[in-house]
Amino acid sequence: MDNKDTTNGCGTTTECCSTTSKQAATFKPAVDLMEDDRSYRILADVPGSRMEDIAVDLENGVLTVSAHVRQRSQSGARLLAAEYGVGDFHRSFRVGDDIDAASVTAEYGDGVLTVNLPKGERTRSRRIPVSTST
Amino acid sequence: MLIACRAPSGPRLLPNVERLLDSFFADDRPMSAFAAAPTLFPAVNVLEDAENFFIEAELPGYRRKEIEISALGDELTIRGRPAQTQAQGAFLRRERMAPEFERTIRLPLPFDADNIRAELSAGVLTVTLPKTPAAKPRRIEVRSA
Repeated sequence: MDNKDTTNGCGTTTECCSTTSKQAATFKPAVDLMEDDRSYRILADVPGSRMEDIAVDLENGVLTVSAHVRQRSQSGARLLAAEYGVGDFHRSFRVGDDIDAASVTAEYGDGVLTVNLPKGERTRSRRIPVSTST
Repeated sequence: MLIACRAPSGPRLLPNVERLLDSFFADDRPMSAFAAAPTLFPAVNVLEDAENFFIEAELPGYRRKEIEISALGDELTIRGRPAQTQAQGAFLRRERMAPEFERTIRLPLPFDADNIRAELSAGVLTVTLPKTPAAKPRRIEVRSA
């Protein structure tokens, strides 16, 4: 299963051959988008990235995840068979204005980046107590 | 399944090279069958240098104790059994997968099973298989009769 989708559309295998050349390809990470009462969450698979190489930016309602991946083939090793390429990750998401932008957080572990986007007060579901009118 | 540097049309590789590549994937159909190839998880890259073979796979979200590696003969098997995690909330979109899996790779040359090393770091599994002396090239001196 090839979850990696190059941003320039890897239609033929010869395009993906570029990953074996000096220029690294860029991939769209696979993501899960989740929602519960209090927040949205984005989980993105960015294996091979180090925390210091990951950038999460929120600007004008667009959240962008960028992860630089350092080439990791063992020094001097020759590739015998390749089913996936290694390169940077990049993907953007439009986020609505029901997000409390100041409280967005992100954490990274085991190759997975988790971005937590809390919903603003206005959009959290809230039970309104009903009192009698007499 | 994507195999780098194999054009879908045009001249095929030399038959012995194709056979060498086919022999890596003991549980796969020959690579020339592009249409409807069975999907295999995870995707792996195989590398070698003078001393070792390396098998690399991307397994984001798996923990060390969820991965099991075993070797038998010229085959290396990688198994994953992720712990069931509770998803909090509803999925608006679901692209990632972290299934239970088992995959066997056949190496073309012998390796030293006693000294295999496996490392999982930032979601990348790297298995290092040292070559046996029989797997390393040996120079034979040509003498005059």
